[in-house]
Amino acid sequence: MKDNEIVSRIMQGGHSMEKCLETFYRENIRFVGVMAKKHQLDRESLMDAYSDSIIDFKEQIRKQKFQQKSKCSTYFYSIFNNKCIDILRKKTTNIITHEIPEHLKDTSPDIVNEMTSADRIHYLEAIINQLGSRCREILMDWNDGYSMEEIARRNNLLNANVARSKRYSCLQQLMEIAGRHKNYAN
Amino acid sequence: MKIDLAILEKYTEGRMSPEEKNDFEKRIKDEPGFKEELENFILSKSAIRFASNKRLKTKLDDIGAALEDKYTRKTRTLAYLMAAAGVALLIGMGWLMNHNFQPRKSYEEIFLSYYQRPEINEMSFRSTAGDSVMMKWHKAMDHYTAGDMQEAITEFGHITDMSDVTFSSRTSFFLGICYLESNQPEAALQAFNRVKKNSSYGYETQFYKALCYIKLGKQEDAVELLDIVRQDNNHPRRKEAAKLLKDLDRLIR
Repeated sequence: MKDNEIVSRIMQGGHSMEKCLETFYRENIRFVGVMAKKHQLDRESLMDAYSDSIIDFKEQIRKQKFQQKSKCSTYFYSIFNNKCIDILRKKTTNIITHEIPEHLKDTSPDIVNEMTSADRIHYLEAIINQLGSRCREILMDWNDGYSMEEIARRNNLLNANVARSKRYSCLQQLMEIAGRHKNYAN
Repeated sequence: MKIDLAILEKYTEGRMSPEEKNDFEKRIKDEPGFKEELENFILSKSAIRFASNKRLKTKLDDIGAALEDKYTRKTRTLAYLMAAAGVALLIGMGWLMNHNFQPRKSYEEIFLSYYQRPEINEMSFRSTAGDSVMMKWHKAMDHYTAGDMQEAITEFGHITDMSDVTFSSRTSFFLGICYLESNQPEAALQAFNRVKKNSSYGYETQFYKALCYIKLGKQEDAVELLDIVRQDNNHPRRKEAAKLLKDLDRLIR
């Protein structure tokens, strides 16, 4: 896949994005071997970091943080490398001397914070898990950029209007749960 | 307080005009319920994004597991193949070494590997020949046993010259052996040719004739004769003949 196609398909979201990310995942799996040699990490940790990096990469593109100053694979490599360094930092007290080029640095601390803060993860998980499974699926599809027609088809809803209305009510439900949970947490 | 979600989405996605944005932010300051709804909306969006990413990660991890499985099987298969190839290579090299690099024997070496002088006690016999002949016979055999081959040849020669000799095959056989021992294979062949095929020395003579051919470097004659020996199920030398044929075959290559 060419870089422009990768970016446009991720921005487009939905099924096209999903397939694009699956292909990107397969096409760059060699980086796992590269990182294994570079950082001497076990394969299980590397595979975990690899899929996390794909998700970060997607988020960076969707938030338009990726300016296409470098190739997608190069940019992704730097994200994956950062993930590996994070793992190493957790495993060792040695100072990591790897310096990441400025133009390749991950500039979305919110994502990293989300993925590394255990409390925040539990909090978000608790909110979403209080929602029914169908509502969860509909809202996740909406987040991933699926069209209302696609959401209706994927969730066995009558049509796009029903999907739209369902999405609205599910979001309302979730906001109420978030409000209750927030008050409870406070 | 219920607020239109479309407005919240528009604000969080940065799609508002400056005027709309100012109005929106003024409401956040002035209306606590409005601010709370916005916070709940942002939290909800984060929770959805978290769940969505978790769902995507599960899908990707499944692909990764399939790829890993394929990778492991490929690596294992490769390891097995390499081990099998290694074993095959070792066997192949062993065969090649055995087949091609084993030092080839010369005709003389082959002859010496198989030639053994027949012991006299193996050749005991009864005869109706006269005393003078028997005397010469014993004299010849004494020389033969002592290893005096030239003397033995002379004595055996006297016996074969006698017209009343009834055990000519026996005498010719030992005469041939004596010539072989004296490194005279051509003369040995002539002596062996006088041995009757149906005599009790017929089988042994065939084998020693083949050895004569080998000593003379007459490979084709040797092979022809040894092949006859090998194919004769009653022949006492058939196994040796088969081995000899293999040695000669290696010599050809």
